[in-house]
Amino acid sequence: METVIEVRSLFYTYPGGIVALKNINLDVYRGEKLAILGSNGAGKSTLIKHFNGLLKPQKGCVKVFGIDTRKASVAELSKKVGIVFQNPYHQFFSEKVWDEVAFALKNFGYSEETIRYRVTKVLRLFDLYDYADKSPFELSSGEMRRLAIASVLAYDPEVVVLDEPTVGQDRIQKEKLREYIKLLSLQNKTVILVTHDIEFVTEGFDRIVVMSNGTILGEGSPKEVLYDEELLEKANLMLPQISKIPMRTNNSIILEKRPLTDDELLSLILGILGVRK
Amino acid sequence: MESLYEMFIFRKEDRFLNNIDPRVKFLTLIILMTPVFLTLNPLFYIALFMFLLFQTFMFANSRRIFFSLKGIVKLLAMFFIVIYIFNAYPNFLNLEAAYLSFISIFRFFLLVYMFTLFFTTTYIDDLAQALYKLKIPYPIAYALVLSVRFVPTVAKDIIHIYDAQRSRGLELDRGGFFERLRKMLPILIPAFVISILRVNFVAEALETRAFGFSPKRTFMTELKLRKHDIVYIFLTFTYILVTHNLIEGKIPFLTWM
Repeated sequence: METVIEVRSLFYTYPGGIVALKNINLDVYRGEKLAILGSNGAGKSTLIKHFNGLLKPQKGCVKVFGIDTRKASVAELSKKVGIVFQNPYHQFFSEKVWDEVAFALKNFGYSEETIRYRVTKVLRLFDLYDYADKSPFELSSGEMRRLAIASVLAYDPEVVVLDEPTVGQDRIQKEKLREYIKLLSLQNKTVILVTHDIEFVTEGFDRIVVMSNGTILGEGSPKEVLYDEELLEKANLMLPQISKIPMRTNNSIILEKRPLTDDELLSLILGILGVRK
Repeated sequence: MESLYEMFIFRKEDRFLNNIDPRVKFLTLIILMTPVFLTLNPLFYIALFMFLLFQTFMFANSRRIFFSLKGIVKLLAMFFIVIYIFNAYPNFLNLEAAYLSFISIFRFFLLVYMFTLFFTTTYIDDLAQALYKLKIPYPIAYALVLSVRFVPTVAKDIIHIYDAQRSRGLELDRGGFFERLRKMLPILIPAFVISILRVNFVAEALETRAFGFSPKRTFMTELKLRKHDIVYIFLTFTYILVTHNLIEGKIPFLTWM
């Protein structure tokens, strides 16, 4: 598999003396859906700011598509790695939704025709086309979140990083977000999601990296990580609901399969009970 | 912006200066500031600078304070150039003008250093209590303190906004003067919007907790003068008196006589 982001022995200390990252080693592969999981202050956001050069490594090295981030500008790297930040209010400034989406495209020097085409496409994709002439501040929180994602996807980065996208979102919005991540994956984008919402990462991710106190505690497939109570406890996280039930049953068949969705769990239980679904 | 954030954000630290009563620190600040305005003697400025350095290394988080000060280096250089141009005009190779400009900048730097030391080591709620105990009505004291408290928050917001816009290809360091000025809009507009929204949230939060209902106010932990506060202010006062007297040959606080 092709590595798109390569992090080697990365250290970062904030000016106030807070050590945010300690010896981080990570590879992100093309087309994968990676979740970086950790409680507040684990260093997740600091890590992703290295992916488009907002922060430069103080020690160690970060390579994005083979380019050392110390040798490239944020604008150059952002064309390849688009970051959707946690708070949409931190980026909206235009009078119209349309202009907000077009902003990055203009900065990257695309032609008027391309801008028109891409903005239309992405607004339609995110069900925002009808709001094109509205102010971004008039949108609901779910729509704002969608607009923030749309404004990054408009310039078609190969890697999309979502920083805590589930904060303040209700169940329906979260499910919609999951659909958008699937959609990105279908377009062969690499998706990196940073979150402390353990319930959200139970479905739809290829790999989970667990961070705590600026270090990577462990990584693996969702089935490995989300059933590793010890690892999650070390990271100040709790098991998701879906793995709590099988852990309580202590049933070897269920524990071997490690279900992560309601359907998987239900069919296992029914199988054990000898009931056909 | 990061240095502004570091200057005004309070981190609970168990260091000597952090544990000094804010009233005493405020009084000390006045004691230190007064002779700066009364003299132009560079030797005295150096003595004052040494005293501040001593406090920084011995009694405070030196790393944090120097980082906060680092943010004003460019500003100082800019001020120096402007002051020099005014002082030297029309003869631009002028040693006396350079000397006068240097003294002005040194004076400004000392004042910034003193305020940095004060704000990085003072818990803002203690400051509110200190002002209240100095008979300033609590709503006014709290409003003053609130404006200081939100400096790091706004600074943090601006850092986030700057990061978000740079991630969308905004390059502030490219283009001519007016182009750069225009590029500030994507930073300033979200900063204003967030600040206005926050003001609203704070006002609602204060009202729902009956802020201003009673003019009398009690505090969970009362500020009390302790022995080390007295020692600190006494040593500061003595140092200023002695150094000023040695260098200038007079007592600083009586120079107007």
